[in-house]
Amino acid sequence: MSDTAYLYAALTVALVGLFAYLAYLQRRQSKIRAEVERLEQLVTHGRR
Amino acid sequence: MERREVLGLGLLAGAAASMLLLAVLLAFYMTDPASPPACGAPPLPGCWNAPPAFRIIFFHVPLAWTAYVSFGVVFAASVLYLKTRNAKWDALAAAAGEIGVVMVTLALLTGSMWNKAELGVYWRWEDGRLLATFILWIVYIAYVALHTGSRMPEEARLAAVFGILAFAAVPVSYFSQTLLSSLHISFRPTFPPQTWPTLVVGVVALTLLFLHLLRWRLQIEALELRLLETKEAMEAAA
Repeated sequence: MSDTAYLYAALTVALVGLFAYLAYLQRRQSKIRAEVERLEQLVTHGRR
Repeated sequence: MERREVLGLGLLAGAAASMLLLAVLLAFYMTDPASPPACGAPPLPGCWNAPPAFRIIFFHVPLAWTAYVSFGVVFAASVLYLKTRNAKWDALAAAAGEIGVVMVTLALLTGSMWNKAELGVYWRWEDGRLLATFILWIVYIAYVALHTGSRMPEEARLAAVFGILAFAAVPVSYFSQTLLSSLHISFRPTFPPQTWPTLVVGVVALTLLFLHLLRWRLQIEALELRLLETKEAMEAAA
């Protein structure tokens, strides 16, 4: 591999790593929010 | 989510993205690639075996800096948790620890690629800097694993004590360059003059990204707490 190839490989690893973490946070937040809303609806309907 | 929170997150994300873009532009289009002197025969002191790979410095150093800042936040929040027993400090420490592990993982990966280009090998266990940073990585993975999400005060106390002790690995990693035998690239007078402003922009960009991620991660912590409370309320009502 050429020296330039190492530069672009390292840049790709950094960007993919950061975006993967952002995607993980987004997925985790959506999942928990959906679960909270589902349970809160259950509680509200249960009280009625 | 409140409008103010969304606006705050958006502003931070925008600032981080703009600074990241500027850092990439500076690193790839405005820095003279020919400036770091290449090693010829005989090799000059402070020369570079792989001048094109030098630009890895522009994201490797900011990633490592952000990891150190994250672990500093873990340390401060852990001290504050033990002092006040307020769960918000435990949440802050857990969030910063997780982000720090991501940053140090990426710093290790990008650093090993630069090592391969410059010195011919990805990793050298006998290199003090690499070994100390690897230990730092393992220590903080263990720290993140301690937060299982149960939110029990005993677990938070244990994590806070671990978070304070673990911080000892940060100065060891940072100063291992001079304290231990290491071939890790140090700052040289042969750095191109544009290196410093570009590095500063990269560090500011990654610090803003860290703040954005921290806020986001704390919102997730708050949601998890709400989920736990809702579950407890349902169990109590059943």
